[in-house]
Amino acid sequence: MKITVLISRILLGAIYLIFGLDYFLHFIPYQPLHTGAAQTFKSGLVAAGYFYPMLKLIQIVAGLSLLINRYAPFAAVVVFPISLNVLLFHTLLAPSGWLMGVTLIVPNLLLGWGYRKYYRGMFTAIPVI
Amino acid sequence: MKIAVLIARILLGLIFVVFGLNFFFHFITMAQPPMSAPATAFSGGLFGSGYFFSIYESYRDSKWTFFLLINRYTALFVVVLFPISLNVFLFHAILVPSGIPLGTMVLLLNLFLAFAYRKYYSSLFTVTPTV
Repeated sequence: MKITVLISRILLGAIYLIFGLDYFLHFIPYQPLHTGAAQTFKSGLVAAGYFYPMLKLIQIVAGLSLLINRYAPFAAVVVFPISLNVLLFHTLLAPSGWLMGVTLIVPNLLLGWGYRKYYRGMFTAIPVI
Repeated sequence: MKIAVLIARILLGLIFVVFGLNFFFHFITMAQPPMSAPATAFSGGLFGSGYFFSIYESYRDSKWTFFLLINRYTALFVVVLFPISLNVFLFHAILVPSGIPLGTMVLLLNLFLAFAYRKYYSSLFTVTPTV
């Protein structure tokens, strides 16, 4: 489990850090061309103005946090909605990129399992104040 | 504190349940406020994706926030709903300023609940976790 968590953490952290930084620095030459619903969805997110900078900033901070192993259980929770949507986007709207979705959701879920003891408090059925 | 949390929990739960169910049943007949071009493009894009509003967001709103109302796994659902509350606030603050009161209220209620349940999150913020 130690090795699995280590690999998942580095993989997830590196992907989020690289793709987060690429949004601001544009060093990845390949940019996928989306059509139809995928394109409508993406241009909607771009049109909002605030959405992509916020998303990419979260990716960079959480990616760094995973890579240097500081607050990793928290970072794994923060990026989970992103991983889930990358998976749904790449399976429902742009199926050719499904591998990317799987490469994010699998290590993310493995981290969730590996760090489960840190989430125990959150799953209290009837919390008291 | 107990009373304040009770009120915040019921209020946030109600807001999400009502607006979540409204997506499916359209019972709020009030006219939507006019939206700016970027706001229209943003929600048009979310609708255009097909999956985002229907199976993801509203399903989550209406079904999961029910847990807030019946007070089961509240500490968990406060976290699950936070990304939505944050975006409701940002969407209204930046793109549809007429909705700022609603956005602010949702975000504040969510943050207040997170503060109230903080002891359940303390292990989540472990600096160097061991596996």
